[in-house]
Amino acid sequence: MSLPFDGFEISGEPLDIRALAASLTDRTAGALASFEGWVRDHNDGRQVDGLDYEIFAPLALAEGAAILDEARQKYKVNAIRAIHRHGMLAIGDCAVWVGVVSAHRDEAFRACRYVIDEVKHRLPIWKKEHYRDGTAEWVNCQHPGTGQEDHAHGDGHSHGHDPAPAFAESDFYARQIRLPEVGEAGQVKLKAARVLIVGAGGLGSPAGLMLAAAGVGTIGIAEFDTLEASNLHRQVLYAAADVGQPKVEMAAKRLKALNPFIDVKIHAAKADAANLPGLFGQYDLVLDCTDNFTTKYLLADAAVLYGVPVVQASIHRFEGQLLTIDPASDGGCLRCLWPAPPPEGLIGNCAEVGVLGVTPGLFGTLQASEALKIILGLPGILNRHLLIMDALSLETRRIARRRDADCPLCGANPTIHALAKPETAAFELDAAALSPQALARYRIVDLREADERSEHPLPQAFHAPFSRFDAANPAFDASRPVLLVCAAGRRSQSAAQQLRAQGWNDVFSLIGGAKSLAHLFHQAAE
Amino acid sequence: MTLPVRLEYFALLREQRGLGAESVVTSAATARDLYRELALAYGFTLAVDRVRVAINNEFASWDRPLAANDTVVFIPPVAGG
Ligand SMILES: [Zn+2]
Repeated sequence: MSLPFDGFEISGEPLDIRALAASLTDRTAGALASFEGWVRDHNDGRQVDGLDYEIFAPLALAEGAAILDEARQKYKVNAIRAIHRHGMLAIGDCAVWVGVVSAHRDEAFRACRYVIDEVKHRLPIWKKEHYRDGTAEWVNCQHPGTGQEDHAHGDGHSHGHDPAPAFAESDFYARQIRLPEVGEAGQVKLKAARVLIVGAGGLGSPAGLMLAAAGVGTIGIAEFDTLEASNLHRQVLYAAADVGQPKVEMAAKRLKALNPFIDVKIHAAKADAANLPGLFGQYDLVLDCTDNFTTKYLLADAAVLYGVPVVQASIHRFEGQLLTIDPASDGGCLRCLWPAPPPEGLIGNCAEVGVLGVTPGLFGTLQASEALKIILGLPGILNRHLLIMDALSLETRRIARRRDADCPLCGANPTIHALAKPETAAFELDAAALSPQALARYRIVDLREADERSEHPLPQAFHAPFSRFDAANPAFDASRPVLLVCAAGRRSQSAAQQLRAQGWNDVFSLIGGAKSLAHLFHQAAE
Repeated sequence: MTLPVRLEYFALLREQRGLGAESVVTSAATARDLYRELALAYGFTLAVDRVRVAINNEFASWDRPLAANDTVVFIPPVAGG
């Protein structure tokens, strides 16, 4: 019997592969590439005995014909034949067959690949899996291209409403659902997960993008800063036009635009002892994407005190560290490794030492990877290791760690029972409490390096770069009260502490750095 | 008695040492003694109690005696983002 040579079909009968190939080889023009899809014996970790395919025939035939037409237009082929089974199939049965004949093997392979990918993706086919344990389940692993799932609006926290996309949410994740380690069940776990990202900067940008794209159902962003031009080279969530805007708003807008099916919550505040208990109560997992020891220790402590895992990344120039503080494991906490943060100023921050955008890019992506592993229950979580990596040599080390019995937080006799309250030392001044007149009392000393001063310039300031600062022999005197200013308030805090230790009484540090003075100069000029 | 050991420096210590890794022969008995010698030689600004040491991919006590061919990694905390 001679079979029809070209086109898309569905069949309730077992496929005769030899006959199908022969129907095309008669017309061989040089190459035949074919694909056979078989029923396999497992899916999502369960033993499968057989499959029941149900096809909506009118739509499947039309869609199949359209796919073959597209392939004929895209590739130089002589003939294409594709056939999909319906009905009950056993393990090892052929469920789908595609054959392409062309003068050149490259075109044949590519067209064959195109047809099977599109058939898997677009055809209205459902399969019912019959498991070894006697149960059965409809598995919608081949999705009709209809928008059956509408975007349900969140609880009002999300900002920026993009028009609902013209595709189903399941289409979004098709390629990751294909992984047996994810599957439909894993995608449901991702949708149910609530992840808080503290700090929407160099680490939080890639972490937020990857988690939103993966379909994490609820993403919270805690961030209080406004976007500056010098953020853009590493904070890839933002666009140049966002400079001057609140980062948390821009970040939420970007994540919602990327994935309208998820809920994005914004927390426009600096993480502190007052708001962290409430925040930790709303999420299953927290990513520490902050850039300072004070907040890192607060988040690490909150992980243990409130029983919520925290994935922590920190970078220094081209290097970085990554660990998961998991209160349920015996891997211990940040204080098991370093019981207290180092004195300010001993270890430089990004503004001082500089950073290439890809370094936080790598580590923020690793944080997202760690978060997905935790949500999906995959192995290899860093809850009993610290990962260190140098992006230049690409040397990585996974160093084993254990809870320290002497840890002040999670040891046998802990001395820390609550989050540290923010302390404003008497030598720290808040710009919000300063008037232009009050400011005029002080000799302003700018501790920033020469290349930092163009951002929020301080025209009246005396320049004393922190890299050459020596408290025993400072380049300025105490004839007037001194207000020390740097980029973020950390170097000035360190310098003020050192000068006070030398007996200087009238020396102060400006909280928040030079940018917090900008409004005062503006007022003074008016 | 001297032992050959492999040393690695992370972050600030890498900068202060001027390289990331080296092989040395040391007469130090413990990791603590070794760090103190290096701190003196290269002007490390971090005191020993601010740094952690890992020996053969495991965090170790500073008092752990060194063995021949140990890989010793010195790790200060970092906080950039
Ligand atoms: Zn601990």
